[in-house]
Amino acid sequence: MATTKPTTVEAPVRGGVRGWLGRLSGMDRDRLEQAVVGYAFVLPDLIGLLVFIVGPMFMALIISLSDWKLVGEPQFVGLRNYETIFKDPKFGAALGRTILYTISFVPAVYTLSLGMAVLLTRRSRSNNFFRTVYFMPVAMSLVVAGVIWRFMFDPGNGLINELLAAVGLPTSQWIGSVQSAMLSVIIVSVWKSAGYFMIILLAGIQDIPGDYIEAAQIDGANRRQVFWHIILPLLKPTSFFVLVILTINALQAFDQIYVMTRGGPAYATYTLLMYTYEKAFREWNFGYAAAMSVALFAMIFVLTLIQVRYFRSGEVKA
Amino acid sequence: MHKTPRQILGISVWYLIAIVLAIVFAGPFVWMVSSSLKPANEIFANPPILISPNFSMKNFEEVFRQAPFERYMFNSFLVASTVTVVALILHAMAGYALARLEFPGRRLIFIGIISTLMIPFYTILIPLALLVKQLGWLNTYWALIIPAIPHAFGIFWLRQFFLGIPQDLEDAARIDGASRVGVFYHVALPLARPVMAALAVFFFLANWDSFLWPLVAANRADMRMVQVGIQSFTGEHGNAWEQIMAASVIAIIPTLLLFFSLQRFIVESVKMTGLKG
Amino acid sequence: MPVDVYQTPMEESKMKQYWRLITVALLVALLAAALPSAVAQDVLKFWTFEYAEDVDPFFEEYIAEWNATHELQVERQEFPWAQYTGEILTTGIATGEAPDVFFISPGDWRRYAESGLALPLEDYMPQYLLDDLLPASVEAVTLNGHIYSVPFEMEPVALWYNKAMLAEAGLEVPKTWDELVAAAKQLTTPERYGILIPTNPDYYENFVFYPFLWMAGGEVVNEDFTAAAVNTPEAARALDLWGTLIREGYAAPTSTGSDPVDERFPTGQAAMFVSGYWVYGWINSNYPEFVADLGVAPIPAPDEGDELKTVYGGWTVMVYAGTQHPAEAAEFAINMFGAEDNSRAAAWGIQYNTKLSPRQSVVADNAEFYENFPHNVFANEIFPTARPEPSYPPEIAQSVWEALQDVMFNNVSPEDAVAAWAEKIDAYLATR
Repeated sequence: MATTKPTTVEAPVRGGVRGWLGRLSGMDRDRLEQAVVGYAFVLPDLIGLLVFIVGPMFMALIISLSDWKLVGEPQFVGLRNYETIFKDPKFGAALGRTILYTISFVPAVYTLSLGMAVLLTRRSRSNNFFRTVYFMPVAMSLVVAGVIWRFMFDPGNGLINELLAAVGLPTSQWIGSVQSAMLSVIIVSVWKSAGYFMIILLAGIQDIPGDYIEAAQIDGANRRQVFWHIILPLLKPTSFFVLVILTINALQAFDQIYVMTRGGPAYATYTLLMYTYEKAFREWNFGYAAAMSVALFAMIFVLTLIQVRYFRSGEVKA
Repeated sequence: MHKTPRQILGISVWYLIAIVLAIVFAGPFVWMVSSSLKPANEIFANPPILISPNFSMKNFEEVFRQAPFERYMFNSFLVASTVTVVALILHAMAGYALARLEFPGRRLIFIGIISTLMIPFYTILIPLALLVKQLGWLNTYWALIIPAIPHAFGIFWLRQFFLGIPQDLEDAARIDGASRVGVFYHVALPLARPVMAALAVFFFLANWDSFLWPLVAANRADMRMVQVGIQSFTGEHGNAWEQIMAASVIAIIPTLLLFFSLQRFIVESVKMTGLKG
Repeated sequence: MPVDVYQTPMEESKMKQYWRLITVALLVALLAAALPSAVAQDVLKFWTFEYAEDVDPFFEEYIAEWNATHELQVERQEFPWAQYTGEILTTGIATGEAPDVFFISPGDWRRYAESGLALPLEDYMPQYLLDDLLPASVEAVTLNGHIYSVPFEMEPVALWYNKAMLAEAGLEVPKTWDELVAAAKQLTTPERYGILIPTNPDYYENFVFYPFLWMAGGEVVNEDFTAAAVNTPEAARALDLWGTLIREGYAAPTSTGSDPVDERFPTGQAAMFVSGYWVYGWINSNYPEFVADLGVAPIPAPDEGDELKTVYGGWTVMVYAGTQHPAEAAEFAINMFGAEDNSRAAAWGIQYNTKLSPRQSVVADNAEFYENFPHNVFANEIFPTARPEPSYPPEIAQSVWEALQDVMFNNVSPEDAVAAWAEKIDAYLATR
């Protein structure tokens, strides 16, 4: 565990960086060590992200300001693509459906995966089994999950309708009608993701010091009280993470819906990203597609900032 | 030890819920396994056939006969394990720094990092492909591995985790004379084991199953990864479902095994004695 | 530094084992990755989507023959069907990695031709081939007097039916739309659908719909490609037929595996199926027990005595305009199916696939094969009524399936749907 503690700071300080380096040199040893180690630790990932994600993203940003149809040089058109977004009824409709999907999908997955995590917190052989089973959908190939669910959702002979009819419940057209298609794809998406977020929440629950729970139990708290007053508050950093990731995933929903419905019937499950994809890879309207991606990025960014603000109190710093 | 009726009721309800959920979650998996063991014309039979009288391993033999599936699995394994190991190390460092170390610009860097999650991959697909071509990496393992390593998900999660480490633990180690790096390595990292184990599963799974990027970046036949191999059984007029099912069963085994063996680290209670108050 | 209180020693050692394993894997990985990648050679790149394994020898033999006789070697690459035209070709072109020769779908053909991505091939095509190819097939790949690709297959659409089910219901094969709806109604039971038509909003749905539109007397755009031609009672009537089948529950509102080959037809969960010539090959290899019950007929016309029409699809082979080797690429592309000896063109449709050849000599030279069911029905009854699949820009193609989806699933009246449809097409044509 040898570490080098820098004792000197690079001497010549010039120009614009003077203030920044000046602040560094004015620090005490510990703050300086923190800064040096901090930058060193962040740097490798930061470089990777800058090169492989932020860089390409800037290219997309530039494309969004141009008219590029795959062939020839992009023509600069200023903000025209962004103006088109506001006039495009398809964008608005796709955004509306994406939001509807998000506000149903996020709470459903969060609640279910938290429930499963709490159910399976203890270490035991049966829990190992159940956890693996709940994780199976996560590992299943999307094409296969898609075809099996489509077959099970068949309004005629599908297993789900047969089961519902057998116990006397009303059947549905599922993915075969505009009324129920969105619900159907949400069910499948929740099924596919719940195990994943269960794992994250499980790890978060392990992070809660057992002492806290024991102490509460000694004070006479029952399970429900322990959950609401100990586990849930202390789980806040993890919950924040889960909700941010779920929201981002939901707003970018594409593949898991595409294999089920291709956005149909009659566009009932056509999401924003599907529209962006078709504009780019089918119509080669890359400028407009990039502009829509940037708009989606901006929306997610604002939403995440709101979540950050809401959860800031949850950042435990004892 | 006798259980009270109330406890027995509680356990029964627990099992009931767990089993009902298990049926829903495992149902399609069972269907997939069942389909992989029967001829094509029985997969979509009505009423469904769970265990076929024509049960055979033929579909599995076909998968390996028709495609160098073991080669695809090797590629997937190589890429997935490399990315997992490197990413775990780098993300743990970055997550720790963002959570526990004070340095100018930390908050901005954090926001910048999570904002990279908000870009749909399709948006950067072409620019990224151009970049990788400039680097001369097309059809190499570099193209499959290096761009897959930097990812905000792991950094973000580890940061959230490290935020929750009680300050007392760090302070105790610091008083013993540990450096910041030492605290990270000897205090924070062991505590992060549940998250690291879970991330190992996630990273491995994501890269084992990675599809679109390998398809674009390394499309030579010998560079194919597992999901691309499975997709090769789809076609112009319909799909060879019996082979897709068999290939998918093969593909899911390593990830489920990894999960099964690592899950005890995910649910281990990291002991934190002497923390009361 | 003593921190062992935080972990039990046993788990520590297990964890270490994992890490050791992982480290070994990592080292192997880095070694493998560090191996020099193959030096890029000057080759002729040939891309197709993924064909079934038993089709591969067709390409392997031709390429082996080519490579043995030419200095410039051909390298073929296959890509998953679903991503081939979207992600793969697009990204290939964008990054300058485009293939020299590639298969192109009718849906994408026009965009490539109009964008200058396709090399005009008429100067490379021998006269015997131009004489042998069906004029309609050549016309379908011609724009402004240039032939932009070589047609090599035709797959007409027809009405497949389950003979046993029709017989059991005492039904004749429907000849008009009224009979089709009545038959579909009668054949629908809680356990099965009367008929299957494509339901996914996509190019394929349009493709199968065109015969219905044409037989009713409708067209998508006018002849000079300047205005929509859909705002007519004829187009509305065609939409109404599909809407009725779905709304009444005679047709399945979803597909299972895919629209072109729906597993519910050979498994007895549907009685009729509007689909292409390929269905025979698929059933023959996957559901051999069902072949005895398989019947096929032309898609019914709206009324008795109306002219029968259908559509044929089929990919064509294109040469990239930016190729470094235009002459070799054109020769390779044309000779694949256009060699003077037509046996390769014939084998493609007869031995490797269930497709017709646009070369007239193929049917003539294989008369025996085309006497058998169902090839005889396709060659003699269905094909003569077929028109090639039109290649519309994506904006127009989208308007077609939007109109269909609206009538089938959104309860939009056919009259309103054709009005909206025409508006979309005209709006797009105004931007060209």
